[in-house]
Amino acid sequence: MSTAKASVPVEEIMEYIEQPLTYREARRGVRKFEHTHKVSSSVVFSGKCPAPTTISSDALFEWKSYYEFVCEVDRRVASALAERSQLEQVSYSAKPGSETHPQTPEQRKHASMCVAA
Amino acid sequence: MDYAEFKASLQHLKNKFKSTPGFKWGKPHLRPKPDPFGSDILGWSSTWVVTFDGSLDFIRLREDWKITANGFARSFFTYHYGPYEAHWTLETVECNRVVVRVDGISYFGKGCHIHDGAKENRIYQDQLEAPDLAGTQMDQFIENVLKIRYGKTVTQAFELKLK
Repeated sequence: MSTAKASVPVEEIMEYIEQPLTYREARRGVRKFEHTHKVSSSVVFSGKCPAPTTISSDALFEWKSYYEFVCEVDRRVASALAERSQLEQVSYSAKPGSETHPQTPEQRKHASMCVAA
Repeated sequence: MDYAEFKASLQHLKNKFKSTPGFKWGKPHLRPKPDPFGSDILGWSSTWVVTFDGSLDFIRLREDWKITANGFARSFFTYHYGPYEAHWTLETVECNRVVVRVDGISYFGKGCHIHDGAKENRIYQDQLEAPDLAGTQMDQFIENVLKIRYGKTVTQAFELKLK
């Protein structure tokens, strides 16, 4: 007796080449393009001057990809620093209802030592 | 669409053209962009090359995705079709020889455009009644390239309607 194997269609498994883009690499890429084409990224991508014919579409694609990543990371760093600096400036008031003063960490330390004494 | 869904969409696209003979699919090159403040990513870029049996022509599909308030969105793209030389690295070569190319990218204040037959021949969106170039998808581009390979012009294949 012969046995028939069920034929199951096999989908070819897709393979990818994945390499994360680092901030350092992106920043280096932006600097390289700016140096090569003697124009800043903000000018290129904000439409403030006509397009030099020497820049290829392929270069612009890569440049924009790097530039947007760098801008996004810079924006997040600035936002995180601003948030941190706000946390460090805790309002301090000697009397309830009086004018409040921001304290530095040193001032806070000094104040807590005074209370403890 | 998130990163995992994007990868799945590439697999889906390849499956869609499974019965079309002559395609040689390269491996997609993906560059996820990690968030320095967390384990998530801020976006990714993708480059995918397709060649053809028996002819030195290739398709290169490049997309850049970034995070927005409503999830990830395609930020810009460039889809290219043209001849190549055997020694070229197709993922990275600057393509000077063009049969058709859709640049869904804005630089120097100029919007999306399509190259018809040459690098220098650009038709900008504001010259076109149709199609909406910014909405071009990878599968549409491949289908239109096939039409060109079967003898249609760029205008016919992409149904370009000039104003």
